[in-house]
Amino acid sequence: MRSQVKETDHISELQIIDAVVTRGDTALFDPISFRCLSGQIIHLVGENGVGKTTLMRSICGFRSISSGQVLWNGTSIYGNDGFYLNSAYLGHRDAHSPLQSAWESLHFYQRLYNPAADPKEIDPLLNQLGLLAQADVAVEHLSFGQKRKLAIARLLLSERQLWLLDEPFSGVDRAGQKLIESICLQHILSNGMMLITNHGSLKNTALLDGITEVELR
Amino acid sequence: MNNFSSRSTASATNGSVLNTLMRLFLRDCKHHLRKQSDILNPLCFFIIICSLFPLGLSAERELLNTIGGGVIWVSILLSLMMGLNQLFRDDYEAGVLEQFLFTNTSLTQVVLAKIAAYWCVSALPMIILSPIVGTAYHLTSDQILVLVMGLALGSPTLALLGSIGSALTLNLKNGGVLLAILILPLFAPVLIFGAGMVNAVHIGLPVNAQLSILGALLFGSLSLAPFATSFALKNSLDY
Repeated sequence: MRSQVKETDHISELQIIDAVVTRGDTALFDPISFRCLSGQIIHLVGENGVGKTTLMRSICGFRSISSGQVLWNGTSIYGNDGFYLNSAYLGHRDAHSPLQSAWESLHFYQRLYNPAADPKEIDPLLNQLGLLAQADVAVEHLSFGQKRKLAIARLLLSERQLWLLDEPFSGVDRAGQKLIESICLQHILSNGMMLITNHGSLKNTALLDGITEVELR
Repeated sequence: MNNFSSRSTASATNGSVLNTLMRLFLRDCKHHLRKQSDILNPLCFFIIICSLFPLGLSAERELLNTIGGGVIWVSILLSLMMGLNQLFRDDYEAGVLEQFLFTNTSLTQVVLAKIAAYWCVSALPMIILSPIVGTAYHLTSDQILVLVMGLALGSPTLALLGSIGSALTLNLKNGGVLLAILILPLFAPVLIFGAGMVNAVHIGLPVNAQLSILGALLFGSLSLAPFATSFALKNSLDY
């Protein structure tokens, strides 16, 4: 299974320098700077509507930032394969086609991420997320929380170093949250890194170590 | 296993690009087959418009023969418009489209596969039915042959051009009408040459020129439209 070994020889860095994001003509928050290294979690906090999701989508390159820079290992992320092929994004939309079954959807992503991967890896992964019984159920018939867990399964499948997670815990039950926390912890311990937005503190969670809060205002 | 060895652009060989296109194409075909309204609605719409014209005009043989080609072409054009609105919408709303940015698969490939799948499930059945509809308009066998050839060459152009409008109106709530206003004028050249051919062959004129122009339009749009569409798709992710 996914044995995760601590590795320190490959350090990556995501650096945000004086980033400003605007909607129309208004800047959503004060210029913000932070850096995220391998093994670190950056927790973006701020009130509703302060622009967490918009900042996240800008860091993904879906929209451009109005001023400032987003750098991956010192190079701008725009059109930078080094960034895009080492990161995975989980937004508000779970990114699973509603008419495909859970297994089919994961298989589709597996082939996209790594055409040489073995489809046999998918069942253990579904099992890890507690979705094995739903493997052949169409995604549209899964519950909100189950879709969220399926999206986490996609992250694991991607085997990417940087995870960009926008509200990963929303709609997930208590046990599911614990599960996702432990998956995130594993990811960090094996030299992964993540940027996460979440309402409420992550301080009481398993993710205590390596977390840095960055407040948008 | 999870060592995060740094990945860079894998030098994609021709074979792997074709494989990816094929996989995306099959995925989209499967999607349309599961959502049968995608196939059946435009097809029924096409048949109904075609059968309304003789009811509204007259059953006169000469008249039907004259308007037949044009009516079938316009009906196909409008029926294809119906599905265009949905071309990227399902993947866009599910959030799948933005995930392609994080892979080696370019949006242009995605666009090409989607257009091909869309053409296969919506235009192809109409082209296959068009000879039957043609006989209802008393088209001669020469005319039917030319009609089918014209549709086979012209309808992919319609799908390619339509994809640009579909991508441009993707993040609008009610983009359907705007899509029609944007795209229908672009369909005019294809319609003029396609429908013109059916009448030309009836009075014994050669149709080589029209066929060549339809072919040129096809290759022109094939080489430009996917790039324009993928650019528009990238813009639609900015919300």
